[in-house]
Amino acid sequence: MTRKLFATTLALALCFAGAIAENLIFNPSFELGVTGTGFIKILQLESNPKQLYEAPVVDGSTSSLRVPNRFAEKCELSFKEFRLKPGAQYTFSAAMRSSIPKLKINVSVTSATTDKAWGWDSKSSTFDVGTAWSRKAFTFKTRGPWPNEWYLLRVEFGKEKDAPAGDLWLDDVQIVEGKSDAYVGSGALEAAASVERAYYITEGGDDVAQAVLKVHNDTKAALDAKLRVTAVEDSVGVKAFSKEFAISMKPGEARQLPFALPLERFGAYRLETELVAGTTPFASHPGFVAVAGRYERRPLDIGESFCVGLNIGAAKYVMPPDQGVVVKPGFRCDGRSADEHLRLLADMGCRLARDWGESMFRWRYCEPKEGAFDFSGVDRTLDLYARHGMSVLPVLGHGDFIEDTSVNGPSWLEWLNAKCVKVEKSGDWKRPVMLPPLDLWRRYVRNIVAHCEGKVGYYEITNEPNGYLAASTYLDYLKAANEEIKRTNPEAKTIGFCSTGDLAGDMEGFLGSCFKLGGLKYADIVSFHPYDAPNLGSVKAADKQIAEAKQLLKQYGDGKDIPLWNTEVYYLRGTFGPQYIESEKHAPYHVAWRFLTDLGEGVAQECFLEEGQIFKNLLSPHCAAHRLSQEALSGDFVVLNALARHFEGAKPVDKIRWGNDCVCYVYERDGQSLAAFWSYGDMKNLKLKLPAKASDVRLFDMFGNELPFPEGAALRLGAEPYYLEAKEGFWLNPFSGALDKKDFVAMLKAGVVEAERPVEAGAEARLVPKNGGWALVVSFRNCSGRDLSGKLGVQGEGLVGLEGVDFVIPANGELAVPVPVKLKGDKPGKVSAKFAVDGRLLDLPLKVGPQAKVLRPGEPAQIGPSTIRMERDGKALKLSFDVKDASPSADVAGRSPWEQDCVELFLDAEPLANPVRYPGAYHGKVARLFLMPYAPEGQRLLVKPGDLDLGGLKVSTATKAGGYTAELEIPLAALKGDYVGFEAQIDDADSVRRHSSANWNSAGDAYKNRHSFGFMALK
Amino acid sequence: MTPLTQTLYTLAVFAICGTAMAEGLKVAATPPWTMAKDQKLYTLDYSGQGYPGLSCTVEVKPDTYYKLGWKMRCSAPESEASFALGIEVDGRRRFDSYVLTDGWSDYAAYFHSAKGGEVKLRPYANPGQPKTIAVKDLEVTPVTPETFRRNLLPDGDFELSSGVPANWRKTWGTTTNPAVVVSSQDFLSGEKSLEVAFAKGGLQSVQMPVVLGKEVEFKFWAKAESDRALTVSIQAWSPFGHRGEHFYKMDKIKVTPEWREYSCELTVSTDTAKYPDLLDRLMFVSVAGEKDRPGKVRFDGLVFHEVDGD
Repeated sequence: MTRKLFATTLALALCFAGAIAENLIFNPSFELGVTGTGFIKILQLESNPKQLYEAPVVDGSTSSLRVPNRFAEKCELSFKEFRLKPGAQYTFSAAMRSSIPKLKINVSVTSATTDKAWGWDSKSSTFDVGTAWSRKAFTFKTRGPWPNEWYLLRVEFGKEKDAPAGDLWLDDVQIVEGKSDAYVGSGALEAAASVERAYYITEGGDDVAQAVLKVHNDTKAALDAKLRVTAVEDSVGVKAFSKEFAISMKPGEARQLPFALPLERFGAYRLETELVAGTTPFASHPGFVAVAGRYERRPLDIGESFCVGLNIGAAKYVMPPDQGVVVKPGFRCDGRSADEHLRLLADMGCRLARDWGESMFRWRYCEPKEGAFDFSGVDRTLDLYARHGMSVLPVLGHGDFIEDTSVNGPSWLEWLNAKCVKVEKSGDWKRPVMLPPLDLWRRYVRNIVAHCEGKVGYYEITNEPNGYLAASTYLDYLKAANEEIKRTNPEAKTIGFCSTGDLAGDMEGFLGSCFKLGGLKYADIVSFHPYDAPNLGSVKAADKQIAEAKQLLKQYGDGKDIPLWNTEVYYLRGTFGPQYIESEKHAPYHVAWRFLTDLGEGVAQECFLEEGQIFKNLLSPHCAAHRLSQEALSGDFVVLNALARHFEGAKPVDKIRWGNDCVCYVYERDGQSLAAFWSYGDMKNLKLKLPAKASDVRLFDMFGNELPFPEGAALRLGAEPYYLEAKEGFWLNPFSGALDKKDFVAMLKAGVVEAERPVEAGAEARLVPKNGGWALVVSFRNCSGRDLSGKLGVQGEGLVGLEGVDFVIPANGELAVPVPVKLKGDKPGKVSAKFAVDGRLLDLPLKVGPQAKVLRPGEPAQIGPSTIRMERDGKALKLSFDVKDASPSADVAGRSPWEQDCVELFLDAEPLANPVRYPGAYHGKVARLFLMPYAPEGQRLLVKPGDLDLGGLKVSTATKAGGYTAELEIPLAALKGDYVGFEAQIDDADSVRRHSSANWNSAGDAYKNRHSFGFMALK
Repeated sequence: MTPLTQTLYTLAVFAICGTAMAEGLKVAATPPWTMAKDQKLYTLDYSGQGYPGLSCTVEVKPDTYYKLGWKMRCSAPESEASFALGIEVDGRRRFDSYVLTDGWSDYAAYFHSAKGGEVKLRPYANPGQPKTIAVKDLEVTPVTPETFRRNLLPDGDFELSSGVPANWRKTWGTTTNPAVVVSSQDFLSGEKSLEVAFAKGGLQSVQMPVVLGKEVEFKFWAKAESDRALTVSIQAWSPFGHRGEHFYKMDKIKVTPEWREYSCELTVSTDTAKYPDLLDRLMFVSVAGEKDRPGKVRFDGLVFHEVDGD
């Protein structure tokens, strides 16, 4: 009390002096308990053999935060994010004391961006804290300019190897602009609603959670206010609960207002507190609670029954240096103990754990010294999983073949690294790898399988090997592992290949190469990571990729039915951010999509998601690069719980496409028919009509909430899947139960999806030269469910549509129609497609790119300082390049063509093709050519033709002072129409890599976007 | 005058006054009309007095439909039809009237000849304001069966028109021409639409050819400032002089602020005894507003054609 009175007095004095700034820390004196903080602790095995996890608590006697650390473990306390100005001075200060005379405390203030070019802005200071309260402070200046204004405060201790055991008390934490370390409080009415647990398992109905609204009047005046607490489902936005609290509070008073939170519907709820009456400054922090259903754990063989699985790494074992932040090894607890963590996942319905990431199965942990195996970590992991009913899938070899040259040190331990053969630029990612001797690899596999007999039935051999190993090299290790597995435990299954589409990995290409070499002899199951085809609406559709993989299995499988397992895909949206945390972001429905698609397409098992993804970051949502403790569960938890309860053990029956990007998968589970359906496109306001009776079916939302079935009416269909179950005796047939299932499928097949509009325009319209003028190619699809005819026109800023073009389009079909236009500039503004359909004129906005260049015979064009010219005779086109490049790229062996001096050419034989979705994506008739003057003779032309036959190409190159020339002759027979899409890029490399490139029409994205090409006139 | 004398006379007139031939069309431009050299362009500096005209003749086949097309502009545009076209076919005369515009507009006149032989065409000015009138690209072309199925209305999207619409005129009883071609990119395509300020009466098209017994359709897109009723009709009313019963179809439609397509269909009667006007094989379309409710309506994409019944 004396300490606080002193601080307040000082603050008031400074306030009158006009020097007080705002304290940016929420709940700085912990009157709201631990609200607004997160905690990670790395447990030590030696000092804490029972692995007790002790979290921070508010010390009732002093109303300060006590961070217990009797086992001398690393503790990391984080605070809710706050905004700092770039290039400004701030001061951190806090009152601290310890249970021991000297406790070393590190305080850091950090901001991160997902842009590698910016990196981090982190300021820190270290303090020795004694047993008496004292105020510690440090002043820092933020980086400026800096793109992210959001910062995070961390208080750490116990990191060092010789760190003593000792608790830390913390109070009156503050960050203010300027140099002052005098505590001023938040100056606000602070409030936060919370519940006791992160999740509740409920049967629905009358269940309630005991919630509490904590309020603290951290102002200098008494106040009257009214607060409202609302519970809103986080992903679908449905308000589930609201309650108002009228309060009268004295200055400095803290109060707890309990209330009952109904748990009527499954979902992940955000508890927001807002000030609805009163004028006081106000600050709050959301609470979060997941409400899920009771999952009944049944005996389950992951080889037989499709279930909910996750990538886990249960041990969360961290080992130095781990990016330099770990000094001593230990087991990380992200806000709860490992056992509590696994219990949470088990309650959700998780039955399969791909032990990956921070796994104890890694070679370095199992054989820390050559020949001396230590499976204590493995045993601990297995014990954890077994206690919670999960089967474990270890990944032998991990991803550790890749040579790690970072601060982390080698992936293999030094003893093993020394025995490896190094290969540079291996696999799709061209990574350096360290290949261990096969006999040692066999010994590692043999020992681990022997040790885990009876506990582990499946082993996956390495993670994503196509990224860093050639197919033949991988097969050496797969074959050896499989032989050791079968010899040691004939019941165990080998999962091979683990081919990935991540980072431009060629998933199907690797499978094909391995299968062609007989690789299927060495695996019982084929695993894959469909990063390049995560869902049905991605550039490459998930079902298409699965079908291709299955076709390869059929082709090379020797008649065997080899199961396909999806063991990882963390990026479910199909769009990628600049950093993995951005790419991992998704909505809960994406999780349901992937699960239901895999199940529906006949993938035998999945564990695609990483367990950390099912948590919600409430402390630093604007600072995505921070990994924080896992207090709040997201909607993923509830969706996975519903999937486990409704679809575990189901088998695929049928697949129905209703058009308008809507899909319905039909399944069977324990003799019961069920289905899941959703819209994977971006069309809005879709309505589904199903000819079923409400008495025959049960309808659920993606969280498993039962919904009234709209008999005779339409169901609004969006991205969130619905589940439909046939009630027992569905359309009762007294003669055959099988017919019931047929009727269920027939009913679903009779479903009709109605769109808001009869047509939808594509993502991008493209200007193309046509008949001496220009036309705008508009793509659209027929969403009406019937054949349509009409006229299409375009109008807008910078252009005039010259005529309405007649079209006929089949139901659910797609068309690309060139509409003649008159241009009034080179960059159209707002443009609309005008559809005259059914006597109405629909006006749909279009995105139109700029007018592209056209290369015409005899008209030279510039590409930077270089020149291109095209000539044509009756048989061939001749392209001539005069390239100004005074510094030739030297030895080019082993370098990608674009990493050396070369002319890149891009040809699109079907430039009018303009798909509704992903219009700029390459199609089969796009070719990419490289004219490489410094490559060996006979290798100066490289063509990546797709399905475009450019037979008869002739190339010649010649170097000269200050550059080189190149000529390419293309037979006219290879190209049809009046124009082809065309782009040229001059790559300029030095002796190491490409350092610049010049483009004729594009902005350098021609390698992935054919809409960035210009055109070449053929006539 | 004997045929030989007539021919010699015609040749003499062409030699003196300037002549041109287009698709068999012989054009004689007598002063004050002048003809530009090497162009199918005729100009009239009109004093506002008299009826100076071009004399045109063309040989036609029996029982055949024809279209006379030309482009025309004038230095002093008018909203009322003051330019006329006399057509003498099968020994009968008719007089059509047209509005003069300040930009080049496409004009058309259709006729059917039962007997074949020579048809006389006389575009001429009617007394009024002094002005300069230019005419070019006079052309007579047969109307083929395929043409019937295309759009018979000249410039149905008004993209070739400026000012007032060239092939439309106010209906009988309408005090002033209510139509004007306005700039707009609101419709499916193009930069112009027709705007009609309905007050009393309405607008009617030029006469267009029809085949007896065939179904014809008049369709168009329209939108109004606010919901309003329009009367749309397809009518036969002989330009050579009305006889017998009036053959027509009349529909009442509601036009809304949203562009919508409307249509009016009718099968052309073969009962020429009851409807002798149909012997001329010509009909026209018209639109009229509400009697006591003035307001503007925009039109575009107007089509009159024979419906393909095969």
